Amino acid sequence: MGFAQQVQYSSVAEGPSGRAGFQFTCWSEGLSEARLGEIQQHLSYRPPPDFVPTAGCVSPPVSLQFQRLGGAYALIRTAYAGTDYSGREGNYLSHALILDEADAPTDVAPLDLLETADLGEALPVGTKPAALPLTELSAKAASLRRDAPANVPPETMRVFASGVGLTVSHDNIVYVVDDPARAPAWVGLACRLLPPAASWSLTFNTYSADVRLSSGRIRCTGPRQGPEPQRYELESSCTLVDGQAGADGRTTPFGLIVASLIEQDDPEAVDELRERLAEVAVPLTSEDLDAFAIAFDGDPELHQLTTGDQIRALETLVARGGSSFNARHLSWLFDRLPAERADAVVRLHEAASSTPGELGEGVRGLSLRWLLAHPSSIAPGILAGGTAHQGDAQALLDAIEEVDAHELAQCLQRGYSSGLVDSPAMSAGVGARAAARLIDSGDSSNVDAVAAATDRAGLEALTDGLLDAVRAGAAPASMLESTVVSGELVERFASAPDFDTAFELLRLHLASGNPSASVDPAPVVELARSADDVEGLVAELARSGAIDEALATTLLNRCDALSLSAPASLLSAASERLRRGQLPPAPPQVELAQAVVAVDRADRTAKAVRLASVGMPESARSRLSWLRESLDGSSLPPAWATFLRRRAVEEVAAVADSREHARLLDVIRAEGGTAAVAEYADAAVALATSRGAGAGVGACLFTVWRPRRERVIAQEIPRLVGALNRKRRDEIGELLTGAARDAWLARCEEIPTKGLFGRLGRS
Amino acid sequence: MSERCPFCFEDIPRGEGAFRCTSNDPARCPPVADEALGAFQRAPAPPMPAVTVVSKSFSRKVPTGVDCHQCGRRTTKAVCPRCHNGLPTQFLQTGGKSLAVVGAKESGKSHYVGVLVNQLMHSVLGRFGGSINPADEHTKARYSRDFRSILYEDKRLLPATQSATVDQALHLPMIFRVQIGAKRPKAAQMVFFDTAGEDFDNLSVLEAEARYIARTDATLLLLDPLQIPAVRDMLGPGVDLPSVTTDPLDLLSRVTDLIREGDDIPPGKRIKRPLALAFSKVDAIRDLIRDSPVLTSTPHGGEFDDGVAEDISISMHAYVKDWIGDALEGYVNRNWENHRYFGLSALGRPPIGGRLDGGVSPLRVEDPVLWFLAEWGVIPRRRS
Repeated sequence: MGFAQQVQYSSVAEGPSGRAGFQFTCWSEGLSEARLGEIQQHLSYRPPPDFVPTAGCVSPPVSLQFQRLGGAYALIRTAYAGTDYSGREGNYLSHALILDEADAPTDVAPLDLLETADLGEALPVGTKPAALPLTELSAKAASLRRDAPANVPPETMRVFASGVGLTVSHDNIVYVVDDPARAPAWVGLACRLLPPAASWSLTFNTYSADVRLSSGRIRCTGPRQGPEPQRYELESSCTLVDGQAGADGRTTPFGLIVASLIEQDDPEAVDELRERLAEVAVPLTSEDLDAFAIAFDGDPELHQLTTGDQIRALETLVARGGSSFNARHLSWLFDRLPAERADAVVRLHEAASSTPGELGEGVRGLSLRWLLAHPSSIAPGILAGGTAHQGDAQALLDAIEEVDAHELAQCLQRGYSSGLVDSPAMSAGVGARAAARLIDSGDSSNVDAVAAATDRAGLEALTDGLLDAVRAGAAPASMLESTVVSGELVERFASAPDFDTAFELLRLHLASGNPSASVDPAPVVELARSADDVEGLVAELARSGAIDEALATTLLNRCDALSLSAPASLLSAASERLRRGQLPPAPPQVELAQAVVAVDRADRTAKAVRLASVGMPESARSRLSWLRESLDGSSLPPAWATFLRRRAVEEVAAVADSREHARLLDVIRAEGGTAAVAEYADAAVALATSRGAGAGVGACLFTVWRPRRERVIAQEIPRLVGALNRKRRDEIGELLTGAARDAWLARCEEIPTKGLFGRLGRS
Repeated sequence: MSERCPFCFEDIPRGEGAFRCTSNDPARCPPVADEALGAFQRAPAPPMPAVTVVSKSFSRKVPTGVDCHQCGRRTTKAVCPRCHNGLPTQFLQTGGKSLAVVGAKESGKSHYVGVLVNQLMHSVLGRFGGSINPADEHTKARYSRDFRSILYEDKRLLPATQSATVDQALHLPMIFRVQIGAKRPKAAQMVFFDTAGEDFDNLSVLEAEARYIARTDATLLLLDPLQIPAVRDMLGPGVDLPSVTTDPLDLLSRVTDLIREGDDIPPGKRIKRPLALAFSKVDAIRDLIRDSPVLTSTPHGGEFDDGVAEDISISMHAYVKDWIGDALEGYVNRNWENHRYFGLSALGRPPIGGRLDGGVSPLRVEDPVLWFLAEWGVIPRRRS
């Protein structure tokens, strides 16, 4: 940091030039005549028109000025000095500091520097005062604390702040009228509204008798006298009378918002806005201030701004461009924009399309990220009409990592529909990031929507990502239960090259527990090469309850093809299912029962019996008892009850215990009614007539004897009697009574016995 | 035929004019950056209502208005076609005559102007059946604020005039409209400049800040007798003497050089515009000029009395020779074709402690101006 040169100007009897009158009385070494000439035009001073110099009168106001010279700044303090060497009133002393632009301590405001520099003491005429070190001056200035003008009506503050904002890039002047003593407070406030560097463009004069002949962006004067400042002199000027409500001048978004923050007594917010503005290295325009303030505020409606105001401000901000002004300076802006301001961001994205360089690219990326991260806030297809730019793809990828899981699907939809994802490689990247985002979020409920939003390459990458995470235990298997992802898994194991691959995919799929996925494990079954393969497969399928009729058939066929016994696990699985079948109602068990029956119908008797018998008691009587107990007392699914009844018919011939049959039929009657009993009887007769029947069948038939069916039974008796030996004939005869007994005995007399297991059908 | 702008002193040919739009609707007639005005003010071009220029080379008629080229609205607000400063009403029709008051520091220039205007307003021009009034708001405000209120209301001395290098207000003249006679009145716009004495010490400053001096129609050189060493020697100890600042001959030579350069007058030719050499503060040297007609002659009434003026001129000329020698006289004769000597006092009595508690009692302050007006044909003249 350099030095500030000093210079003083006053009226003296004999100055360095040897003449009398107003002149430079002393100046630091090195100040050129040209520089003195420049500063001279700012050294006029007149006391207020109503000032009458009398003994003890109040001193006229001091003028504190900050002016720009060519490549330098001037900080000037001018104070009334009473009479000159000739005794005439009107003398004054100007004491100025001149500092090169490059040396300006832009971290402090010029006013603070000026007020802490202790200017104003008359130095000896003709001397060469030493230049002052700026380091010390700025250190003192940095510690200065200044109060804002008190009791300022809100409407006055709005116009003032607007006027200050306009001075940044327009030929705008803020007039502060009435109380020069408060002028420094106004200037100090103005400096505080702008970033320190910008305050070094805010020239000012805290007092001049005639503001029209004064210099500076802020010009202060005493009570209003003489001609009013003409409105046409400078456009958008602001004139406020200190201490009065209202002001003459227009308002800007910057002014409205800053005044609002001040009114809310939120100096931290004002400081934060200023810090944000300070991040921009290039000279700010008034439009920049508006846009920053609007974005900073986030609620422009609160300040009577319109959407159009905001959009225009933002567009201006972006379209402005600038070599040092880049998107980094605006990133915070996007963080603050609420979701409902999507229209502004879309316009911003469009505006950036014509902005060259890093700014355009950056803002497009920011706006796109914002839009993708707020998909619910924009109309469908709003991006579709836009033109994709370099960098937008990265924005999409970045956005994926920022959105919520429930917004991810829409985000991807925007990306694909707008053409941002324009290659399989890009799509794969999107899918991978989406998988990572879903896993991070731990939200499996949106996997389906996300998967549906991708294309083929994206889905593959998404599935890969999810699979890897599930394999590694980083994500639950439920991540795979999505219909779309499941479908992808199904397709994959359908075309898997070997059993291990296919089996793992199937296992993961089954583990996902998606009941709606239609998985056909048959291809995996066909890839099985060993008993271990089949065992593992059956165990997995049985665990998930996935063995149905077709699958059981396929499994058994595969065992046949491999010359393998049906795996115990398959049988135990069926057994388990049968056992579970006792418990009402369970669709998988019903399906298993149906499957068993279907196997039987498919004329695979031995295996069907084996399968159906798994888990049943060994003795026929016990099995009949088991069937009865299974049917008794429970509201079984119809299919399962049918299975049990038919299974009971299977057992009819093996048990000749009529009592047992009677108990079973009681249960059947209670469970299935008369129709069930009739069905049972029909089945028993069919069995008896097709395969021959023993005492059990007979016992069964006679158990179900009823007058309604007497004729049918009577017709069958001859064949039945022929099939029985004497002992059985006697047993049945003991069971019968009345006419039936008489008919039975008569028939036994007519037909000789043919052995224990006669063939009635063939006879 | 042409008139001279009282601001930039460029000639405005007859038939040429410029007018600023007076529309109050910026939407209909948006302000434009006025480069010409900005250049005059040495400031960035201010946004101003549009200026429409009228130029009829062969017309002898002064244009009085024009339709704005932007909005079509009729406007009669005349401005200078060169610098775009607003011209007083009827300025181009009546013509302007400008007067430069020059003099060393503390010679009393500001007091003279302040008192002169007041005298012309309230007593002198009335005798000629005429009047003088500020021609624009700036003049009215400035005269009232910077002169009349201080001299006549506060009864104190005017503050020292600041250099035109620092006080931009001094670049703007005070313009008064003089009208003589009721029936066929003769009118003129009188343009006064008041310049700090120190500005006359430096030719470069004069050229930069007081270029008007070279273009005015008349020059009034105020000579402070109290700064003349011979006079100072003759005065008693009771007189409060100012410091000796600038040699009047040096000052006059600078002004003369400026005029010759501005009007391109070769060394062999004399300047034709009238030069009044007026001794100020004659009340302080009353004892030294006891026999001079300055103190005894009657004022001009109705007509400018050439005889009285000449008597005074001869008398004062004699004092100049006595007090300064032949150098000043010789220089004036060689360079100025039309000159006269005057004696006057703006305040009429010395101030006490910077105050004018006894009021202002001017003495013959109007004589040089009446001579100029007579020379320009605005007021009648006679020879008693």
